[in-house]
Amino acid sequence: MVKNKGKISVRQALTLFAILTITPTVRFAASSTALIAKQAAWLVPTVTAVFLFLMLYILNILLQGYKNKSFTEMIYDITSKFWGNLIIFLYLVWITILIAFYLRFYSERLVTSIYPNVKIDIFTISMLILIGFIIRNGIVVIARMGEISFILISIVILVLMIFMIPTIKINNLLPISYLDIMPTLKASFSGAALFYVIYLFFFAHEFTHQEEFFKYGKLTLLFIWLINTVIILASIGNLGHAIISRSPLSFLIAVKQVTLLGVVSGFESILVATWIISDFIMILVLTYSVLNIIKSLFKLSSYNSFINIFLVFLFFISWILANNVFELQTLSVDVVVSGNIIMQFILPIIIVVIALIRKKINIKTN
Amino acid sequence: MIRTITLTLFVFILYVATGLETLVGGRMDISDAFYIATVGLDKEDDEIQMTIVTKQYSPKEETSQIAKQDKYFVSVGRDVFEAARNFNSFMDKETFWGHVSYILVSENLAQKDIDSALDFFVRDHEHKLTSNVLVIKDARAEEAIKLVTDSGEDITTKLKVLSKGVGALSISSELPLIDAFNKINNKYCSCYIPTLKIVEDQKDEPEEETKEASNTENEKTDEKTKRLVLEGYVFFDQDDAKLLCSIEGGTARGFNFIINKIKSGVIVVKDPDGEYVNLEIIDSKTEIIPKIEDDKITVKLKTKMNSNISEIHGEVDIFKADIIEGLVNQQNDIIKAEMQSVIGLVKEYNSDLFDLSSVINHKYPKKWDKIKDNWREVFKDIKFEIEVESKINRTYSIKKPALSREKEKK
Amino acid sequence: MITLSKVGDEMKKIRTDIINLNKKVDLPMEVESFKGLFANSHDCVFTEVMINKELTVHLVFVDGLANCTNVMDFILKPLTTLEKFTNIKDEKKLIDVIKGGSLYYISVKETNDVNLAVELLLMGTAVLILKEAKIAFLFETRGFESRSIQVPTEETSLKGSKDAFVETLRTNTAMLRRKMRTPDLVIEELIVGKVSKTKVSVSYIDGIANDQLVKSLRERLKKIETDQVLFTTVIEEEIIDSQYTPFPQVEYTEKPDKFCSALLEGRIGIIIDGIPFTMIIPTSIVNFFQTTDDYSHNYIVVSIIRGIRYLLAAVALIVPAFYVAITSFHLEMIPEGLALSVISTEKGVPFPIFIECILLSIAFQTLIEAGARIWSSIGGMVSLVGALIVGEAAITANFISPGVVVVVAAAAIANYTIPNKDFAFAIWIWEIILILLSSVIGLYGMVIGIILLIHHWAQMEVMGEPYLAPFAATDGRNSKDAIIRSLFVFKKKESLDEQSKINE
Repeated sequence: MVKNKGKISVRQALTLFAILTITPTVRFAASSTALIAKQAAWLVPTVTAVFLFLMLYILNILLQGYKNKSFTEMIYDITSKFWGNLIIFLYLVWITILIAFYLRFYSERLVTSIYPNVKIDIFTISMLILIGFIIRNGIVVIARMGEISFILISIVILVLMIFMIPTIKINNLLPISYLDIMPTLKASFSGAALFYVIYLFFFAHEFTHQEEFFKYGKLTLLFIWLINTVIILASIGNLGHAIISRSPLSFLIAVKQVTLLGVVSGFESILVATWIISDFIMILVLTYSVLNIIKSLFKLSSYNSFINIFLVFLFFISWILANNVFELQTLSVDVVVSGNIIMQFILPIIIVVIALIRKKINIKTN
Repeated sequence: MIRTITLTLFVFILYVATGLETLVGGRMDISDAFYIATVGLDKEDDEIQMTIVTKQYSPKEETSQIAKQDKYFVSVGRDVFEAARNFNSFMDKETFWGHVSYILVSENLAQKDIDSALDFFVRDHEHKLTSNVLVIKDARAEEAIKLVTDSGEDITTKLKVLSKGVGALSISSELPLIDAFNKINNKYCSCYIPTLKIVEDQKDEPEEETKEASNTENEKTDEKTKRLVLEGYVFFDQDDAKLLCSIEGGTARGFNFIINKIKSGVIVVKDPDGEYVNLEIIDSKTEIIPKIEDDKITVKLKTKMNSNISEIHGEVDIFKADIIEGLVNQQNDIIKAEMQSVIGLVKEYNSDLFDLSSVINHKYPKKWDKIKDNWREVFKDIKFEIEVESKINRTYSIKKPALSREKEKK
Repeated sequence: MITLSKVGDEMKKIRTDIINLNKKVDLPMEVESFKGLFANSHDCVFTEVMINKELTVHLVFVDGLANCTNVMDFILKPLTTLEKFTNIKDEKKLIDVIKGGSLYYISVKETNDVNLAVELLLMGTAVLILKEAKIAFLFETRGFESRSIQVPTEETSLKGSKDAFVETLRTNTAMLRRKMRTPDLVIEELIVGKVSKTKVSVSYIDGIANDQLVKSLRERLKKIETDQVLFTTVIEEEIIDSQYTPFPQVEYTEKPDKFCSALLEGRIGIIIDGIPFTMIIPTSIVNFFQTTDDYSHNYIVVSIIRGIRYLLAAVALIVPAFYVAITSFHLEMIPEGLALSVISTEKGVPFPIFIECILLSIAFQTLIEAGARIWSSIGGMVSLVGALIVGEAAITANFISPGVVVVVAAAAIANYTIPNKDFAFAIWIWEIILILLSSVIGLYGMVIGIILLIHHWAQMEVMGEPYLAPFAATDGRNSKDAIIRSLFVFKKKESLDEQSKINE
């Protein structure tokens, strides 16, 4: 029998984190890095992996210091009541915007890639209904779905990679010289914005085996690094950085090129299928953490009554965000990247530093 | 619970069964789709004329006469997309662009703006980027399509066979849309596109005909035989994508030598008696080696090539070291001359035809960073050197020619 | 059998009768009581045995349940012929003599409770009633006709053992004991069913099976309120957690070797008297993809075949829906050559593709159902008619396009490869759901369907064990045998460690 009912292991949580990263990677990692780092874009994930490693190390200190507590409880404990409320409110607003952003982007992506004649609302609303239906089952079911999706997505990407390897042109990936150092570093910032691991900490009180966080964190890091590198390699290696940086759906275009034995083609359908699944998991998980924030911010016993209201609210926000897809892309580059860096890196680091200064936690706990 | 589920399911099935088209647009049943296999683009005054051909599928029973007439359609519009949409006003099926294999652009359209002609095909989500682009020289695309289709053949199959067959002579090649777009996009090198042309008189240049073309034509003995030939390239300017020049024959092969697209080919040399010896190109590899000394760029084109003897006309036993060496030298000269003619064009138009820029970029990335802004200026002063290193490896089943034995007896 | 669907007064009456029967009767221990209870039953035999002129006893047994030879040879014969008995004058003496073991019969019971006597009588016991002492002796004379052990009919095995469970509980438990000679094998027994009073046995291996699991199963079985246990679902539906699902949550087997290997994995087996199929719980999705033959073949071959089974299940589930999606929404995703042949086959067919798919998919299921229900003497007709209609006539008449036939038939054949048929049926139902969804909005609908299916599986638990284990929720424990079957040498080492981990 499964012990710890209603809780998930750290391994499951990190699996969710891996899926959360796949979605934006497939969407824009290749194009955004190609824009800045050109042919050297495939080196960017290696640089970002260093950032992520630091991040995981810092978060590990936090997690080991506060066992079985959610991030909101940690913030309250570390800062004062007032500042705690403020920070948590900031997170609430930011993650809500992020979900709305992804919700919108996911529907836009479907409309631009395979459903040009379909009303965009259909995708948004059907996704929200699905999430409203499934989120009531709690984190355990979400985590299990995450694990299965993780297996599916990994297999699909792996297979697509194998198909794409023969057509990669080495010329597109070279030359690499010291001139590429600065662009690579610059591009790595946009890549680092994709590591949403801190948002999972809002339900950290539902983790078990917390001492394994760093161990599995490193494995997840390896996986994310591999997927990122491989996707960028395949996209740019096949089509060249010029086209990739211009395309809103870079990986899809690259996959469209794949033909097996000159006969079998159309693999993009499989890719689109995994997109939808990974987008779904991402929106589901982020919504779950927002609901957890709401629960602890307003001191509710359960967030169930909030689900419907929040989802309707999301729908409207996703429309207020931008008028069309061009605005959305500008928003993505200008606001979301820098916002993510503040919320995911700077703020948590400040919190950890304060905690260390106030001796709430210490590094040696792990 | 069960009742609600059953009810929802029932309503859902009813809904599916009755009217689904109201909610979700974009349904296109496969039987309603007109699969376009080849597209022809022409310039008609200020408008663009588009010709589309479906691929013939062979159902078991013979298709009726009507089906044969429906093979190609023509429409006109201000731009490519409008022309494409205009088909829907008169066709009984919906046009479907996902499987376009060949895009034929007429020369006069290509002359003006090849980039806007191809934009629709790259941008639209339905299109695949692996379709091939061809420019029709001195003729209209519609004409070419008509020519093949009216003779009862399928143009797409024909073009496929042609591009496969052209490898035997290596006077042209295939170029996927995505590469063409990449090249047009790249401001440091000019774009090349393979060309098709319509040859009228069969006796004119017998050497140039491809086997497939001649076979089909031999069966038809009209007084005026026209056929489609895939040969040569056209080049576009690297700055504004205007048509620069076109090449064919030996120059085209020289170009293929440079860009490493040689599959096979025939080189004719002479033995000491002045009789022909035919050599078959087995493989070839050209390295473009740029060298920068004191800001002066010299480029060395180093070709390594192998060939086999495929036919001997004379009576001399040529399998002797000195004769072979003579043949090799002749071979080198022929290849060198072909490549030199390309270099001549490069110098004439001061245009980077074979993507030298990326070679320099890869070898001297730092230097490239400095010179790339006035690449054309720099390009003017580049000196080219050609070095050919070829080998004649072997012949096949017979060594000496049939007559050489008798000669020895005398 | 009493059908529970009857409504109204009739139903009420039957219910009250049943309840009355279930009540403890308060009757004296004498032959009249039995005669009253079994007044209209002709298979109940009442014999008056005259031991000598003074002494008469009554013997009651049910013909067919009790072994008549045994009754004659070991009860009647000694009573009437042995001098020990014929000399006895009063019943008191008789009781002493019987207690002293002069009737050489094992498991003799003495009672004055009519209820117990009736209960055992119905199990084949012979009851010897002493009139004056108001006491009965119960002799275990059970011996009825039963099917002998035969080769399994549903689960064929190439190299495995060829015995199968039978209807008799005792034979079945004996088979288990023969395979596993350890006192750790526990076979508990309960009686379920107010009317039928069926024996249900719960077997597990002490020390390997999870104690809590055994406890909760025992409790669930005790709680069952039912009249009869003639069918497996009576028990199954009471012990599973998720009711609203087409997927099986209990594994059935008729092979003792499979049953035993399940016990060794720490699972619990249930054997019901009268049903030759045994149940194993808890189950997870992997159990429905494994066969016993997996463990009697080369491990590399088996691992590959198992991988293919999962793949084929995915094919059965997805391919028709995918076909509908790409032919009516995403034409650009069909490879060129295939598209052309689809177009040529689709000409002149009046229905949209998804209707064709659903019709055909139902038609295949109809064939299966017809094949299962038809009398075996005319069974050949099904395949003949089916092949004619589906294979030939429908296509020639332009009712259904050959392309759809190929796709749906491929899915159907893939479906048949799923070892567990209950699971295969459930997959078929989801196949239709996916077709419907993808007919509305193409690939997107199909993926929504897949998400719903994953969710459905994710929230299912069998006796507290996640249905998706070991793919999810187990942190990778026990995943060794899911797809790849490792060598037994490795497995043994692991199994002990892991079992102890689970039991912690």
